[in-house]
Amino acid sequence: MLLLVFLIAVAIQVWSWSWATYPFLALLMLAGLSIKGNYMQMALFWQGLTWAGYLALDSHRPRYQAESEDPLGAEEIHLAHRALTWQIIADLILLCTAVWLNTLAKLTNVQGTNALTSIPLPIISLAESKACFMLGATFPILKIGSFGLTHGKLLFPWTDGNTYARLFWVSGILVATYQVVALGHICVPALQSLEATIIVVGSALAAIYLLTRAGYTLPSLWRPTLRGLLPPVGGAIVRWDHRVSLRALDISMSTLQLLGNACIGFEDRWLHAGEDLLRAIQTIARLGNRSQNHTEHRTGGHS
Amino acid sequence: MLTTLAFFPLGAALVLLVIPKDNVKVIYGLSILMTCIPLLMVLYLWPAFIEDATLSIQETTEWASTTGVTYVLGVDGVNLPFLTILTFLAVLASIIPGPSTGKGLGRRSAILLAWESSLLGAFLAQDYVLFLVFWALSTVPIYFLMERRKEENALAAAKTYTLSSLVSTTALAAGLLVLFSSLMEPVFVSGELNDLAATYLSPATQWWIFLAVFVACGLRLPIFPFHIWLPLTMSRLSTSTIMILVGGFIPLSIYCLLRFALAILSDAVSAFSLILALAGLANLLFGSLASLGTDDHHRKASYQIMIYTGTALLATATLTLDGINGALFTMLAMVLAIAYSMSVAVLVSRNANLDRWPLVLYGLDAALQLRLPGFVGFVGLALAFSAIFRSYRSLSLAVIGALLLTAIDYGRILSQILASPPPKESGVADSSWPSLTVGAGTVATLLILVSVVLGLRSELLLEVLTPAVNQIMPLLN
Repeated sequence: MLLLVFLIAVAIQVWSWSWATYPFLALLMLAGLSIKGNYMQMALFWQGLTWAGYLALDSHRPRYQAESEDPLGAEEIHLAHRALTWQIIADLILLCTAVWLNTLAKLTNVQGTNALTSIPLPIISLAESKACFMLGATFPILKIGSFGLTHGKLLFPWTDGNTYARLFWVSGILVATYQVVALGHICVPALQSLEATIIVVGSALAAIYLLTRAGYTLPSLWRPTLRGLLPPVGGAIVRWDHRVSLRALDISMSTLQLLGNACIGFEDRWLHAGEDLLRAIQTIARLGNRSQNHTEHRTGGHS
Repeated sequence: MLTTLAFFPLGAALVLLVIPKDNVKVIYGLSILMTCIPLLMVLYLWPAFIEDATLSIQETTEWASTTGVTYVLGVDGVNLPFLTILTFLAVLASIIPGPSTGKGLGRRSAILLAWESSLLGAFLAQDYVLFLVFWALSTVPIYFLMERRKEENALAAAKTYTLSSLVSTTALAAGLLVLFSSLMEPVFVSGELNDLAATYLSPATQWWIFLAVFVACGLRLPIFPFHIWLPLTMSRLSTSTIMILVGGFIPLSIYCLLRFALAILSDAVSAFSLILALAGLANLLFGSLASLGTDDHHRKASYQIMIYTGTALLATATLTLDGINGALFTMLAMVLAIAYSMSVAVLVSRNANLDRWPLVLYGLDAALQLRLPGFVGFVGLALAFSAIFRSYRSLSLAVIGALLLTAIDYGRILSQILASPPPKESGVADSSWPSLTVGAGTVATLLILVSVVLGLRSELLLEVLTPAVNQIMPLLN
């Protein structure tokens, strides 16, 4: 497992170094072919491949900038968006399947299933096994399908005639197909026969082909709906939150000020009352003194 | 050793203040060295706990015996992961700024070290009053670390933080003092307190204490609608300050909730579990929608914190071992993911020459925030989700919904990077050594590595956490 992570890390490092990429590609594909029915390893492999792909895709932009003022045309950006959407959908499918498998293992108390680290198979019932296979197969197919959308002009601009791009894509398809077949053999015993294997391989290749074609032709759902609707909703919530925060602060501060003023007023009133009391006492004392003086005066100092 | 661990950063802070301000490289190097020592001390404790997860190390000294207050510091399997992540983040917080930040580095590093000291003390404290003292002390350094800006909301940030920290500390003081005076048992280390609380505290008293602790922790976590201080305050904090904020300040509240409410007040916890779950749900939905609506890194990070705390609260509300483990792992994932996001923001915003890296850096950020398999977040999500699914089946959909919204958010960010014009070659050149780029790059790499290692070897942490959680909360399902 750690070897795989190491390979992915090395991959990201050497990707921009053109001559080193060919042996790396062989290594990466070998790593992909060594994965057999382990969800966690599949996840790591395809994540690594995705980031390596992103890196290659992004490195392309400054080069185009140097050549022309319009680095990516509208069509290329549209396809890149589509590819990105598929990548993220694939990640979400993987995540939900992994969480589902883990919950399933917990619910049924399957012994020896440490879904957190390796997500081993088999699953409990045949229906669940089939569902697991379907979801597991969707993931690499979507991933490699999304690269199919961007493999042309966008990827690997340093290689002549996109040889490397084609090699990358074809190798990726082979690895994806192999992983789908391996997963099918483990999850659904009926797929272990030669005929069934051929059908699975054919279906996987057809799915990748159709997905890539659909990416070029079908209208995008991403941009007009989700991308267009949710961020403004989020923005409205943030503005509301900000406004309410400031208002809550104002109310708290003014309440505190009001309380403070009330306390000070109360204290002032007490102070005034105290002063009045003192004055009254002094007046009374003065009156007492005066009456005593008066008495003394009238009696001629003899009380 | 535990006292040394708690107060070493404070001593180091005093040393940093003595060094002349102009000697920036020395201050920078020394602050990294000083933060490494507590981390090494905490790592030194791990082998003993791996051998025996139910171990508890304590240091006790007579303090104020007339009032029943004792100076007790302790480590067990519950606070050890929190101590480790805090000391690790403190190292990263000292690496990230680089000496190019100028003369204020010594003062800022010293305050950060003092803050680390107060947080370590709070995690280690095994006495209610001692915990309260460290909790209150840990609220102070943020005042000195807020950047002075002439923005419209700068004063509002300071005011909201002041108000919330005052209310939080007062509420906690009220709750803990009632608990302390009712039980007259200073140490909260064992599950026996649960029996004591059941004997000496009526359900009504337990509810009031729980409410006070919940308000205190809810303000700090933060829970919707007490969260208003976080977005305002975070936008005024530097990246290194945010590292300590997410590394210790916010996790301390979930730790407090676990120690003082869940582990002791079983009657109140059963009664309030649905409220905890609803608070978690509110955080999840609000945080995930609000993070879609802002492009400001600091504000976005504050709403992302709410998503994580929402998941953790929902998982905690299940009152199961998986739920508590899931909540603790989710908090751990939050620390690593938010710290990574902030370091990436520094890398991208300060260095325009990263021509081909933003997409990869944000791609990794998306993977961390989506909690994909292979990262520590997945462990927290899987544990939390299985617990939530069993206890609150309908609410588990909210977790999936929040992940979907996070995916849309990152899809938007990545597609913006794709469509934006490429950066110009002449970026901001940082000639001083080591540049901010090197600091932020090192930090981001370390965070990813730790996240992957913990994601792949989660059983190491689970083997320590599970017996320790069972020990302090024997009544868990």
